[in-house]
This record gives sequence, structure tokens and C-alpha cells, in this order.
Amino acid sequence: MGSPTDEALMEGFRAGQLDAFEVLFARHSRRVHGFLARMVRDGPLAEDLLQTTFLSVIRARGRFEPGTRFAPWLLTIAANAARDALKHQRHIHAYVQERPRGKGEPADGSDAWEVRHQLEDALQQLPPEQREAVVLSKVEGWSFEEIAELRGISAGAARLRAHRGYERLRSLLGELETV
Amino acid sequence: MRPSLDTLLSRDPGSPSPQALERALDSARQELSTSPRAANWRMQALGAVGICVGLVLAVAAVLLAAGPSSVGLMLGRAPLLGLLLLTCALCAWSALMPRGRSLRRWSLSLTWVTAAALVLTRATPPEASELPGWVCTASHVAAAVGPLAWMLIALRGTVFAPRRALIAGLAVGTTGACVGELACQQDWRHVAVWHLLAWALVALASVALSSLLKPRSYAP
Repeated sequence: MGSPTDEALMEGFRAGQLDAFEVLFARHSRRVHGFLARMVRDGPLAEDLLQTTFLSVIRARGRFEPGTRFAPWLLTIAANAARDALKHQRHIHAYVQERPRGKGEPADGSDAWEVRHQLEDALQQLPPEQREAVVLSKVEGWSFEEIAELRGISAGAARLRAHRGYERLRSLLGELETV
Repeated sequence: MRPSLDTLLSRDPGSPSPQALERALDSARQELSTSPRAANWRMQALGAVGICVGLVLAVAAVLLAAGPSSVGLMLGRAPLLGLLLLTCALCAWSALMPRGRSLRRWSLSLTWVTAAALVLTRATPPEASELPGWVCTASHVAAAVGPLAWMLIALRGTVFAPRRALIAGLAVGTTGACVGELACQQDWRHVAVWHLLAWALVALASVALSSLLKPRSYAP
């Protein structure tokens, strides 16, 4: 017998099986953190938002409706938390430009780290709604219909956001592209 | 050779520290120990409607006991009161349900119809009132304070969405509109200005207060 699906675990959690939550946390916490790190580019903030996201899952478990897919629901919560945090982060541009080297960053500025650093910088230069659309469509594999549902826009508008964000990223990172 | 943009995007941006994971899990366990039961949005919506209906019934009882109204007069307003309570129920349900964008559109449409019906069905009174118009506005807003507080608490369980908050405000604003139907005999101009103003103020207050409150959850 295989392991239970996320949706079955969530149903169990709603019914009072608290262990089910820990299984969901173990399965999804790293993925959610990856999404949040791309969205806010701030390790400690991403970790705080990870905590906020799973607290939201607990507090809103009564809002999880049968038939809903768990992973998109969870990332919707993470996206909402990230958007709210970005809205309240006033000096984001100053932060991006003056960001000191943190832990785990090589002092010699190795190539792989430099490339990642440039990608993070470029992502932060996108408007939050374009960044969200790019990350959700290109990294998380969401359809434009799912992004549209998340933000209450049409699928065409979601496609446009992702396309514009992707093209802007491409132009910002032009020299990194394979020729 | 440089990696493609898709490859770059798909690279892991770094794992959370074990301490961060442990901290998140600890706070989750603490939350579960303090609130082991899930809040049900259906019960919250029914609660909002129940509070509105209860207040309207209490006002009706007071008006009947004190004498300014009669059972016949109230029965004459029954269709409008029914329409207002239907609007209240549909708006409360659609404001709190996790999905249901189309139901929220229907709620807004029904609210317009109800507002128009309130104005168009109002007859000319036999004698003019001596009370200033704002008394109705103030009393309608006051009648909505309790239901609005309930609704704001329920809305904190979800991410802020202006349309959702607006419809929640329209739901609880029906309480004052019902009170207006029971207690006010003035003409359609008075209803169009002072009663609908109160309804709009409650809806706007719901949006403003909801945007100021920090959500307890970012769930849709």
C-alpha cells in the first residue's frame, strides 16, 4: 500500500489527525521555502514566511475544501504571505543594491555563485506580480489558469505577466543565455 | 557554455536551515495545542446571518411592544425584508467561502437589485417626519456594528481581498436596511440618500478595517 496522498492527509488533518500535519510539513517545507526564497530573496525573511505559511495552514484548515489540490493551495498561501511581506518591505531596492555577502557565499566570487547572485538580482528587479508568475509557471509548473485563479485575473493576463517577466529576465541576464 | 534561463530558474535557491525548520514545526505544534479545532467558514457565515436576523427580530419586537409599528405594517414590508435577508445570506456566504468568484458577482448583482427595490417600493408618507435624515443613517450604522465585528473576525482567517471585504460589509449592512424598513416611514428620496448611505458606509468600513487588520491566515 502506498503512502497517502496530500489531499488524504489534509482530510485527516481536518478531521483531527494532528500527525498528518507533520507529514505534510516534511513533504512540502523545502519546496515552499524554495518558492519563498525566490520571491523575497532574503533568507531569514523566507524562513519567517515558511513559518507563517504553515501557521496559516493550521488556522485555515477549515477552509480547505474537498476536491482542492493541496500543493497549489499551499503555494497560494505562501504566495499571499510573500506578497504581503513585500508590500511591507519598504527599502527593498536599497537592500538589493547594498546586500552584503552572507553565509554560504564564497569569498572568491566563484562562477556558479555569481550566476545565481545575478539571477536573484534580476528576479528582484521584476515587479512582484511578474516575478510570481515567472516562478509559478517556470519553476513550480503551474498552468496559466491556476495562476489566474490565484490572482483573480484572466488566464490571458496571467500568461502576459509571465511572458513579460520572462522576457525582462532574459534581457537582464542576456549574457548568461546560451547562444 | 552558460546555462539556459530555464536551467537557472530551476536550480535550488538553497535549503532552509534545520533550526528554521524546527522553529517552524515548534510554532505549528504550539498553535495546534492552543486551537485543536478548525474554524469552519460555513458556521462563520451562518453565525453572521444569525446575528443579523436576531438583531432585526429584536428591533421588530421592541417596535411592536413600544407601539410605533404594527404587525400589519410589518407584514406589508415582509417581501422587502425577505429580499434583504436573502441578500444578507448570499453575501455572507460568498464573502467567506474559499472560492466562488462567480457567486460573489451574483451577490453584488443581488445587492443592486435589493437597493433599487428599497427605493422604488417606498410609498409617500401621509405626514413628514420631524427627525433629521442622518438619524436613520446613524442608527443603521449602529445596528451593523455587532455583525460587522463578527465578520471582521471571520475575515481575518483569510487573506485580505477588497471585493470579499466589500461583500462582507454589504451582508452586515442589510441589518440597518432591515431596521429602516421596520422603523422608518419616510419617502423614497430619504431612503435613496440616508438609508443607502448607511449601507455604503458599512461596506466601506468593512473594506477599510479589514485592510488594516493583520490576517491570521493567508489562505484563499
